[in-house]
Amino acid sequence: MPGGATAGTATVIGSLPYTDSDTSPTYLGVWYVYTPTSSLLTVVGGLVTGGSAFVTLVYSPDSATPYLPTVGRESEKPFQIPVVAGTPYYFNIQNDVGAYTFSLIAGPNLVAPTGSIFVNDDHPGYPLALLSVTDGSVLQFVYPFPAGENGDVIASGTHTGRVLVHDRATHHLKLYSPTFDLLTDLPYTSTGNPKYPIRADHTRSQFYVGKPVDPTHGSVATVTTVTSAGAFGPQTWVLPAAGLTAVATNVAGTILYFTGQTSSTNAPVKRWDLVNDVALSNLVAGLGATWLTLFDIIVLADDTIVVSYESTTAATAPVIKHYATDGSVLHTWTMTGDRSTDVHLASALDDPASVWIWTKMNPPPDLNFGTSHFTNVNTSDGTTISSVERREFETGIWLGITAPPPDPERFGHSFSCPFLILRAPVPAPGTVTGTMALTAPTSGDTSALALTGYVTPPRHPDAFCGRRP
Amino acid sequence: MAITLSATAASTAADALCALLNGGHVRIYDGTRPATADTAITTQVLLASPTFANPAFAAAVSGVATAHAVVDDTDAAASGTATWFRAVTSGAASVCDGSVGTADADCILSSTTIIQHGTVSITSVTYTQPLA
Repeated sequence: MPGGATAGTATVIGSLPYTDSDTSPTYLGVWYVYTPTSSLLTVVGGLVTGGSAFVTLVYSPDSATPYLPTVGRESEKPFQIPVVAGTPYYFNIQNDVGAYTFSLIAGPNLVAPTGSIFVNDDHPGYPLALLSVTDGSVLQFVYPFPAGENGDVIASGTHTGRVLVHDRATHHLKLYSPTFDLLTDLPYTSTGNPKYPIRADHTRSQFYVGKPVDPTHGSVATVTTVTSAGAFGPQTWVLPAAGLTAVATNVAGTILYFTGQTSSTNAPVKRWDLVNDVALSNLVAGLGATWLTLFDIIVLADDTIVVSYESTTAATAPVIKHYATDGSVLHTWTMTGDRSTDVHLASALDDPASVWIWTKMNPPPDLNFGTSHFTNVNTSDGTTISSVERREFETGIWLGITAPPPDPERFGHSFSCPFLILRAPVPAPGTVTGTMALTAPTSGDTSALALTGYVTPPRHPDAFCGRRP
Repeated sequence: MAITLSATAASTAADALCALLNGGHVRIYDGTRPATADTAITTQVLLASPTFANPAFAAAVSGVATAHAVVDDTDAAASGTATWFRAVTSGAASVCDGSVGTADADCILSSTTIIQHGTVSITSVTYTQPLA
């Protein structure tokens, strides 16, 4: 069935997967409409192939309101959009004439086991992606979920698996259960539109969170805590200057490591005495004028410190430095990729034996642009334990400067956002598990045995006289 | 005062009841639980219906029977909040009713929110005939 000539005559897509091949008669294109019926469906993926100039505009909830306006504007690239049951989504395939093929498929709905990769989007309106640690494919999407650049997970204790993220749309901190039910919503407003570093504590079941510019403290950076129960801690530490790109504390919770004060270029990793609330000497100096500390410090469970560095120089791969507590370099891991925007670190399940590192391939015009590498590195010798490579979807669109291969990935994670390793499994959406322990009723003597009878009185011996010998 | 049962007698009773569930179902509903297991269902909505194996249970020991693996309902019938269940025979005759919740219930679920077309999985079932 061809697409409808107008939105009013849009071809109705009844169920997924859906494929239609036809010919578009005009540059105004053709129309389809799909209305999900199940709340289990949170993301659908579209792809139009055929004429190289076809683009697909998406509208919702009516045919005149652009939905996530950039989606589908790049021809022949898969796109993914979050959806809500009962809401119509219109697809206008246009900008070319001739033969086309349109397919629309449902997003994956699989279990995300412990150890899966969490990547939420940096653009509001897009979902959280939970990725396979085996091949990087999306196991399931969680929608709605805040967009932002920072987050971390509680790794031990009663609240293992709870996740705190910064919602860049509201500038709130949001605490989620291990299965992503919203537990707490904490206003945490700063000045401007900064990134709010977040790092989980090792043993105290709390997060350290930072404001790069705190208007209530002279517009310098501050750090405080959020418990895994969702309450701000009692203390705020006021740092010397504005600017803050990463925070982490030692295992004892007595020393704060932080960077990005004033500038992220050639920034030292500084230390702060959390007990006496005073500055300590720097852990290490910056790597030089061409190196940035834009994201992520991690203190491993053995108290050693891992810091990510990105270069501003072309053809220079990002490096990860592994430091002892005295600032001496234990290891330097040179990753793959050129510069690699937004290098992130994540604590591994076997911390401190390994750590996870997320790097990106080279910027345009490199043909590998748009590819993520997730690498699990052995912290004792720097060897790669495992690595997965996966195409990114930025603002919902397959990311790359070339046309996708004939059978491209249909779903993927965002280019930029926080990254962590799940501490608890996330069931497939809509999955409820349970147990039954049934006990037969005993109240009201329903299991009593009711016997009735009578007792015969003893007879006098004289009654037997005639029978006596 | 109620009687007390021997372990053998309790197991016999448990086995008899559990046999009624061979190939039967755990029907999970929303709404108000009926007064008795013989009370007809009225406005309550069937949300999901996992299926017992056949035989449903292994032989009871000291009055306690443990079910064989229950088959998931991978296509829940409706969306709603689960509040109670009725266990029925393969022929849909009522056997027993029980409560559903996330704690302190006969059937404890990870969430009482059932989503249409979702999966409801019962991972273990025990039936106990008390000795006293």
